[in-house]
Amino acid sequence: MDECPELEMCSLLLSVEEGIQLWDMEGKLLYANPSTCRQFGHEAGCEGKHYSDMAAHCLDEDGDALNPEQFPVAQVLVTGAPCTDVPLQIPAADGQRRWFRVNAKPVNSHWVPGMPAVLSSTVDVTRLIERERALQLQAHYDVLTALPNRLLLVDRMKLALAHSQRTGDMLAVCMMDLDGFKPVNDALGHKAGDHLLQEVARRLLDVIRGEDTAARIGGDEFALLLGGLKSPGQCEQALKRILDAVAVPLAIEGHPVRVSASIGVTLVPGDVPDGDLLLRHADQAMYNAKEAGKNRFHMFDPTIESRVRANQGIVRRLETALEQGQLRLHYQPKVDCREGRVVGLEALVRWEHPVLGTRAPGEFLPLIEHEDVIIRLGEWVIVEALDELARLQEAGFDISISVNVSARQFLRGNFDARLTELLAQRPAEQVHRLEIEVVETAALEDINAVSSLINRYQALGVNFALDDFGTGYSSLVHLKRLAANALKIDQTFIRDMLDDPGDLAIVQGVIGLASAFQRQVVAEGVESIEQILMLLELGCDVMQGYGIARPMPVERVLPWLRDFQMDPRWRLAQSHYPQRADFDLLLMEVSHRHWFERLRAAIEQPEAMGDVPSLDYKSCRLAQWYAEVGYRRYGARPEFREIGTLHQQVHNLAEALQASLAKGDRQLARQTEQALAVANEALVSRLHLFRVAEASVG
Amino acid sequence: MTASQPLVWNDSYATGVAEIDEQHMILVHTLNEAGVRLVKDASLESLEQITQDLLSYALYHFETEEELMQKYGYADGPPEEAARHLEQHRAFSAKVVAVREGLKAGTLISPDDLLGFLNNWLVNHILNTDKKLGAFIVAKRGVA
Repeated sequence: MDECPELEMCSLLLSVEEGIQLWDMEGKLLYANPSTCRQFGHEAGCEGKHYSDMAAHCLDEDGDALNPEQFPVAQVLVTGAPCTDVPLQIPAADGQRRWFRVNAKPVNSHWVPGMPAVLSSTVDVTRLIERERALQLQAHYDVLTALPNRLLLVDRMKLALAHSQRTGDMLAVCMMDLDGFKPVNDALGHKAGDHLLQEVARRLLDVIRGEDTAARIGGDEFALLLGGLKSPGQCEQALKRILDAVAVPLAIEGHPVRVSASIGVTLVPGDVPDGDLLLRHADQAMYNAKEAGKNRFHMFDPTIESRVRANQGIVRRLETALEQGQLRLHYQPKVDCREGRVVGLEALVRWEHPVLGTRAPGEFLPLIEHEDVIIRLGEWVIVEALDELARLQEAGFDISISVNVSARQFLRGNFDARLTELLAQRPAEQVHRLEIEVVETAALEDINAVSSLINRYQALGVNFALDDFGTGYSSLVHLKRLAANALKIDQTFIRDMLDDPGDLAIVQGVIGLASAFQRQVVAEGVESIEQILMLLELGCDVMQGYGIARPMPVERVLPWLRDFQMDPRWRLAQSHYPQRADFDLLLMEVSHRHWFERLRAAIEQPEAMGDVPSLDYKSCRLAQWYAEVGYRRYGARPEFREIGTLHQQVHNLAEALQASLAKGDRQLARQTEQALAVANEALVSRLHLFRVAEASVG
Repeated sequence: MTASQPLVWNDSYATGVAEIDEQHMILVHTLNEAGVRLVKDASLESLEQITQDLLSYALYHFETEEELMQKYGYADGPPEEAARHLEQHRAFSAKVVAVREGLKAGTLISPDDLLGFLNNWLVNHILNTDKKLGAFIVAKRGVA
């Protein structure tokens, strides 16, 4: 080093802590100060060495062997640009790694004027890095137990969720709280408490798998992430192991100590894969575990939770709806079709939902059936209906309004008092026009209470109807005890009675019951003129349904009532009710109509060919009746035998149609289908005419 | 897909709108739970409970979606798509109400029919209809 022209400068360099190096353009050291040699472990001196020799011991930031081309001097030689703050590690003789920050840049050397060189420096930053790492550790780990803290837990949860979504395995997110920690802390002091927490942490790490996470959230609260689960059962086993491990007694400073754990768990998939939400749900479940008696785990049920939230939301919304006038009554007329007279209106609640538009009661009433809001809603309906009755009477219409009362409202202790109060404010002619509809099944729930309420309010002039009649299991004894004024036949039976002999039998049965017990009978859900005529013939005169009028908002009620006129077709119906023999004819007509409907459906949807009714004449219900009962009774009559011929023809054409369809002869099929329709129409009208003629004779 | 196989949520179901996806996951879970329950117990009570839960959750979920539609002006967006979307919501509720009417009169829908309907409706609705809404909202939110 004596050759150095800047001697003073050089002696300065001898004593600095930083390593200083000057390299030639070949990458060989022209000069290195003593610090350099110490840092790189070349105590014997390193001048003349190539940078690749110097880089040979170095490790990169991640601790891997350094590629010599990444050595800062090499980079400057290639690019000609400075290379700054490169972190490197160099293992020292004692095995400890030291951290260095290396800078290098091109310079003009004084030794060989005009000749370029590279100057570099290496600064030992080991202490700085270590402090940084310690801070990082503190930020991510709990100092007492060395378990990850909440910050790191959130990080690990992200990884675990991604992993579970990739593999399809289940992930359990658990919150754990120690039962009986506070007494230990209070009795034996904080140090004992800390010792206990450390012991619990150790046990947790013992029972969970290496890739799972146990974290301390604070105080005596821990969180666990258990991944790779194939089933909820596997999760339960893991949790039982954890509970057992925590519950093993231990001694602290000679004192026997016993704690247990309460664990709340939520599983993904199943729950929403959102870290914060999962921890909240696990926490919620943990409180359930505590409430259920501690030393146990409780599984969070996301469906129940979400459903409860949805239900509570809807209950609240309906409360608001009631307060803000979003509920409206619509009125559906009840008409006596024999007399052509409107006898009443049924009040039906509609929800003018601010977002979803007008909702029918079937969509929301079942959701609040067991909530208190239905009671307030019921009272509101009665008040509205009474107000409407007053308006109707003022306008000269003497008709009733019926309101639906839920079972809960009806059987609730103060319904009686409230109704008395509401009715006391009204004149008698309003009270007498009020009808209360109770669903049959609800009335049967507590028949004693319902029947005594009915009796009491009937004495005040209020009428009662049993709604949806036929859907419950009323016995004749029940009907005798429930003094309702009317039975309303459920619309499902009315809807299908023309096609389904079973439903027709129920309709007929209810009409018969009503007549036997001298109650009024009302058919609900009437849609077509055929249904209206059939009901009239069966002896049910009062009906409601789309076939007569849809429910309408209050402002349309009076105009509708003023414009109402009897449909002239209603007069086509019989003036008296069918006898047993006529009913047979009616049943056959309906049964045949049902058969033909099924046949037509099968033709229109050939892919559902399995549903084709039997085409065989001999096995047909109408044919059997015709050959036996019918023939005995009416066989002498030529118009009856005509029915037999037409019926046979319908079956023949149906079989021909099936054959032509099977052959794929579409033209022939179309022709046969038309002929079949004509023949069937003739048959149905002959059946009908025969029945009408028979009834007028009988 | 047969009714007995559970629906497994995967990324292809995601609409990109967190509040919608969260509720869809619950719907899928509810459907799977109904499947498990109906295998063991297809009684009237069981069907009534399941259809009531469906009504309730549908009302809740449809409100969320339709509120978002209003907020982001979906009706002014893709022609007819908004109307079609609403129509599917209404049809779903109407079908569930009809199933409940049937239950009342003693016609119990078969578990396969109910689960088949729910499965088809949910998958079709999410994969087609809701994803269009999701893309629309994501685009609107991106601009805002």
